[in-house]
Amino acid sequence: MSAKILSVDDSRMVRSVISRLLKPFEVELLEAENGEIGLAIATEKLPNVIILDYNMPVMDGVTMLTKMRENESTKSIPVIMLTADANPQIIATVARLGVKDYITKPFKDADLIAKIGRTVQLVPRPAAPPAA
Amino acid sequence: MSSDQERLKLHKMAALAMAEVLDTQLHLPGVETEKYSLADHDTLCVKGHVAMHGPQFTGDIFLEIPVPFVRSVAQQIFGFENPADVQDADLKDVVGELSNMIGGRVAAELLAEGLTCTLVPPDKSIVTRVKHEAKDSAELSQTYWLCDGNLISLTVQKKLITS
Repeated sequence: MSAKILSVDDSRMVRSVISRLLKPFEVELLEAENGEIGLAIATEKLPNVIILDYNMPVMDGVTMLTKMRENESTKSIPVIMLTADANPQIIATVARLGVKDYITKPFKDADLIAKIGRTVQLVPRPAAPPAA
Repeated sequence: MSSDQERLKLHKMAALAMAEVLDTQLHLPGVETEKYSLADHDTLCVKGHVAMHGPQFTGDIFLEIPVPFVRSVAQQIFGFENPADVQDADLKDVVGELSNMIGGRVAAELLAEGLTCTLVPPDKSIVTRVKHEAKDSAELSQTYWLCDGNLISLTVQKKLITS
């Protein structure tokens, strides 16, 4: 069974980069452009891991995370924060909310894949058969 | 610390942030340059602005990248076959996120100096490049970068709050 990964970021660029990085693996990638949509998808689809931005319009990452932790069905979903903001108050807050990891932007492709791989099993997609 | 030393420090922070973002996120090397002409200031650019607010200072990051270069970067990132398929919203998304990342790196450097701040989500627009001037008693660093033959400008401004 492929891993279900939810990417929540208001930047389409970041979501596209994550999508490209995960393309070689058997994953079902879900996307949301803010915390409100992310929370709805997390509740409905129960992903295996969420890659979450902090600074977003409508609902920020910390609010989404707080609401997730209050809900029995989503409170244990592992979350990796991926944000440009290294403010110590934010880091302390998300640490209290039990985030699995914290990555600051800009990020190296290999670092992100390694950290996702520590949370869910990333199985490579089988190679496409050669064209006849 | 003198104003020149402050400006030099700001310049170093901006240079570190810019080089890291270009290399890590766009996989393109950027080289700081002082060779530019006034004509380059007339280039139509995608501009990202990130404001920084802290208890001890306020600041701004302005990133300006020529439209054709952003179009080519966006085409690759979003996987469009045709450059004409890239919309203005795509251009603004790319530069907004790059300026956000630069803002984050500069904020981390300022944090190492004991200055905390939060970042405001980026403002994005398509404008003619301008030469930024320091406002009031703000320290300002405007640097120019060559990346894949394109002139990028980065301005970092910081103003201490005096009580």
